[in-house]
Amino acid sequence: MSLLLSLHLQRDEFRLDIDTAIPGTGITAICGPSGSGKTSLLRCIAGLDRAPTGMVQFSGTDWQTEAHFLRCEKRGIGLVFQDAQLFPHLSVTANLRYAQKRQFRSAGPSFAEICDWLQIQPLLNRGVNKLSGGERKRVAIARALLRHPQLLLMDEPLAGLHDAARDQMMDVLQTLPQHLNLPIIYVSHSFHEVSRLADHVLLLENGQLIAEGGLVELSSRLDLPLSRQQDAGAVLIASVYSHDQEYQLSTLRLDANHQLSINQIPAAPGRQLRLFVAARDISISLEAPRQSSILNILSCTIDTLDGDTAQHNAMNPQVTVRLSVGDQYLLARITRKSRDRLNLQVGQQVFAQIKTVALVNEYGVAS
Amino acid sequence: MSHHDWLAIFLTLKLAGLTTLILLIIATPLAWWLANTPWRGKPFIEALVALPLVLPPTVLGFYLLIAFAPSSPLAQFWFGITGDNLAFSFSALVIASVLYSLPFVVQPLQSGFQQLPKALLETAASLGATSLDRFTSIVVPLCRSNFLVAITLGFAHTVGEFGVVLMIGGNIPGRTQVLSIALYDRVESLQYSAAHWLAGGLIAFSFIVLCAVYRLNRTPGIAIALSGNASTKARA
Repeated sequence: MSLLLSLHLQRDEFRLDIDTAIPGTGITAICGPSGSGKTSLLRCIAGLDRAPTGMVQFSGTDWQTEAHFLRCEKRGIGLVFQDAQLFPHLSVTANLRYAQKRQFRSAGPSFAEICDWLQIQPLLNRGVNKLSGGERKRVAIARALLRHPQLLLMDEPLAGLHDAARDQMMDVLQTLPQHLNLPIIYVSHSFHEVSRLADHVLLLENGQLIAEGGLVELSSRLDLPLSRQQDAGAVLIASVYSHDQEYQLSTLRLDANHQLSINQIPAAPGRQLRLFVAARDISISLEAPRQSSILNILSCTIDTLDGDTAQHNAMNPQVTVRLSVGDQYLLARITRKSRDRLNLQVGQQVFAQIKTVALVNEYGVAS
Repeated sequence: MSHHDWLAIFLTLKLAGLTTLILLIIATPLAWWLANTPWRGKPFIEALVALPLVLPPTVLGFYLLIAFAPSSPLAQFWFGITGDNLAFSFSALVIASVLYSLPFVVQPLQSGFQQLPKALLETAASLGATSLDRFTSIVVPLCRSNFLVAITLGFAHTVGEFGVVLMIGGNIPGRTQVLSIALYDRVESLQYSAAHWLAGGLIAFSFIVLCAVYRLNRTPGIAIALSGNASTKARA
């Protein structure tokens, strides 16, 4: 079960060329700067726009071929627009009932369950123009889910929200895949959001697919624009190993030889977690520092130096270094001066001192 | 008031009601098409629809008189299917009124349809609503006040029609003598008291209808719909 896409679209100066297969489970993020074609791609998947030449197939069913185009209302999708698009002449409940009356299939979560997941129970009797931005979006997501779709599409669900509403929304979105057995496609310009939510990533630039793959793999690739962003960093997968009650710390294992400590979390040993380590929070030393307040020191190997892949960075005061830790990677941003002073070379054994480890699933940020 | 006056009132209401009904059926799809078509010839159609707004009614009346003459192809076609003459008939009045009042119904509907946010309709489609379903569940309630204005203007304008009717209707009581013509008749024959009843009645009727429309229009409709959307955009 997956979504096969082959879409080619020319619109004035803009050209979209996408050939890919999106996995049939988990959250796939379509990520890229504004104008890269993310929303155009989403609209073609939804059936709102028709690429003149293209093919869309969802789990064996043709949605678009040369001869055939299945209309949006027949595709059984849930669609959440950037600005919610609640029906202004209907109350919150009536908006939800609108979708329920036109359900794509009867099997699926109940009205009460969906309201509970999205925390919209207290809003049900309100008029839609009495809702805050975050509330509107949660109602819009609930409405899309009440359709009982086979695919959920979301266009920048966090755009335009202030920080508190954004965090609450992220928490809600993170729990969705646990409740729902359906693929979610999510458009975002922010890799920070994507690193918390997505399993699979499509990176778009100027209407072209520049990379796709697992989040962990893409986050550490130095040849992609992600690693050049201000808040670049690597996503790691770790499992809970033990808890230190006295110091209130939890130990996580990346693999048999590499461990990290974070503030204690209420998770059972063996549980898999997703971590984010910002490149600017890592420093490199050639010897294991013995007297340091930093707990997390990992021995690793220099995999790539940024200068190897991007010539333009020669005049940048900072360089990014990719370090391999077991079979995972870290990114470290250090000054070019440090690189030369330590004479860092690919293949060299070094120690990474990690100031902050962010836990990017439901428990929030720990250090 | 005389029997003839009552006949004229009844005939006028029948003509305006029937014309409004036909106009809603014709003008709704036409206005929808005008609001959404990317076709470059659209201004041509818009100008054609708006012509009755700027032409003296007698111009339209003159050409319709010719078109309805028994020897004309239209009249013969009409005779072929109905067995009736078109000239000086009630049917001729209805056809003329539909043409004459068309812009008054098309224009409010078109402007309502144009202001409707496209994304709302796309959202409804994603929720499984077919195009007819979207029209009845989203477009009609959100453009309710536009429909109200269109119906009111279409009806009132037909009631107030004079020039076209004078040219093509003749003045046959119970068949083609409408209120405005009956009033003219009374004034011509110096029956001022009857004229007062007709004229005053028309004023009162129009005023009451307009009051009712404005009253209805205060309840939620497109006004709230549009302000709701504006605030969403401001937040985004």
